[in-house]
Parts: sequence; structure tokens; C-alpha cells
Amino acid sequence: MQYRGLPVPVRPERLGVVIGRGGETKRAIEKAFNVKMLVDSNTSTVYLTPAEGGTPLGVMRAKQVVEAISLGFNPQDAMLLSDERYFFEVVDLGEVAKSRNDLRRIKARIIGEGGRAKRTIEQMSGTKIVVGDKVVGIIGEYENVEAARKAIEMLARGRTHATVYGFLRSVGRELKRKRLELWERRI
Amino acid sequence: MSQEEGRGGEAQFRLPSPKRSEVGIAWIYASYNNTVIHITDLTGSETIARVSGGMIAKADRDKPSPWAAMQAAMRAAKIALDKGIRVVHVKVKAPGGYGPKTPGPGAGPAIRALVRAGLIVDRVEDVTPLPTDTIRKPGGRRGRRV
Repeated sequence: MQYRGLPVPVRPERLGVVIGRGGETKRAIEKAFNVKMLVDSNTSTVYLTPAEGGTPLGVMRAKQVVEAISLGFNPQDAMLLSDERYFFEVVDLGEVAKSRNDLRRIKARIIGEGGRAKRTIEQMSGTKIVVGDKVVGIIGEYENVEAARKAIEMLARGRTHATVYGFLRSVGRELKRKRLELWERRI
Repeated sequence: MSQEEGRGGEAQFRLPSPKRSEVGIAWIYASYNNTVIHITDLTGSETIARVSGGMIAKADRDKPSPWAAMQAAMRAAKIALDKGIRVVHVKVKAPGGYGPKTPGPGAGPAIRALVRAGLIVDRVEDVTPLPTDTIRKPGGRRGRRV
């Protein structure tokens, strides 16, 4: 078979979002990373190849964007990844959940009533979070993503929400201190 | 060269045909605990440079950070350039197996640093060892007892 590019499987129900209205999102991704996207709707797979003047590096980043959208991020948040400071991370809940009901319960704890817990974590850590089928996706700057990942792992292991918020607060303070130190050293 | 063309489509520009000794492979192993940049010759059996995040960072928790990965890649690239490597094929690897199958936070910055340091990155490939069937996690039936 002919080589079509780096295959990225997309969940069928999210394929439309990857393409966007009238191909809007697809075009945005192609432009931002200098890649060409070939969408196969039969197998729900996107094939990525570097466009004229593109690099394999762009392909790797574009792959992350497609994966993020497939997970449930809206294209706007996923396109944050075109900025090199932003990272995309996936936390696998299937590893901690013992059963189907356990998974449901853990996801409920991460999301919270009406999405309250999720929103709090997002705000405190400065990240974007999406809870998918068996995984949680996080987009943000490196330190923040790290903090959010630890917070979610804590929740999944059964720590109370209050403890997790306390943890996030302390991390926030730590990061602020570090930034100040950096600032002072430069002067 | 014929083998490279056989796979086709991956190389996005024709290089001014570098000598064999000028091409190498940069293996980037990015886990959540560390990032290792290992530059070898094309056979993969001769090491040219090997630098890890732990050789850069002072604290253990900074080993996998993008910053440490960047510094490590810079250092590895410098050694490789001194030894006459100009072009590298990048092979990115996550722990795989029973572990995470996506490369850790150091992968992206490391590749970028290789480019910035002056190496020509020909192609990037993911070589994470993926299980073809299920794999037994360590810890045994009664789980990890801490």
C-alpha cells in the first residue's frame, strides 16, 4: 500500500470536529504546523504529512492537536498547542479504576457537581481539562500541567477534594516564588 | 538510499546526499522520570554521544523537565557535531510496554534543541515498543504493596 503519512486514529464522533465547519479547523491545523491532512472517513483516521517547507516536528505537534480534539477538547483549546510553551498530557484512568462503576465514580469525582471540581482545578492550575472515556486530557504550560496531573491522580486515588485544592494552592505559591526568584536574579 | 526511498513520502526534502559517516540516529527516550538523548551511527551499534536529563538537572524531579531535555540535547548535538555528524534521523521512544505509550514532556523540546544546535533532522519516527496483545503489569496478583 502507498504511504499516506502518519496515521492518527480519531473517534468517529469527533471526526467532524477535527475537520470543522467547511474544513475550517483542518485548514487552521494545516496552516499552523505546515502539514497536510488527509482524512479517511471510512476508517476515521487522519494521515499527516509535512507540507512544502514543513518539518516532521510539525507533524508531531499536529498529531497532538488531532489527538486532543479526538479526546474532546474544542478546537480553540487544542490550537493552544501551536504555541510551543503548551503541553498536552493524557492521564489514563483505566489503570486506577478497578471496575466500570469505579471508573464512573472516579470520573464523577474529577468533574464534580455541575463541573465544579473540574473548573476549580482548571482555574487553580491554569490549564484546560477534558474528561474523556477512560482518560483525562490536560493542556497547559509544563509546570501547570504537571500540577493538574498530580491533582487528578490524587483524586483518582481517593484523596478528598479539600486536600487536592490545598495541594494546588501550595504548588501555585511555589511557582509564584520561583518566578519571583528568577526575576530578581535577572536584575 | 534505495531502502529510504522504498519507505517513501517521509523525507520532505532531498538532502545534498550526505556521506554515510555524516548521518546518525538520535534516539530520544522520554519517560516521566527522565529524558535520554543517545546519538549513534546509522547501524545503531556505535555510540557517538549520550546525554541524559539527570546529567543536567540538580533535583531529581527536574530530570524529565523540558528545560533539562533541551540542555541535554544541545550537549549531545555539540558532541555529535564535533565528531562529524551532520544529519540525524530522530527516533522518539516512550517507555511503552505496560507503561505510558506517549513520549514524556522532554521529547518535543529535545528534538527542537537538536535542530537549533545545527543538526539537520531528516525524519522523526515513534519507536515506542507497543504490545501486540495484553501485557502483565508488574506487581503480581495482590498488587504493589507499599
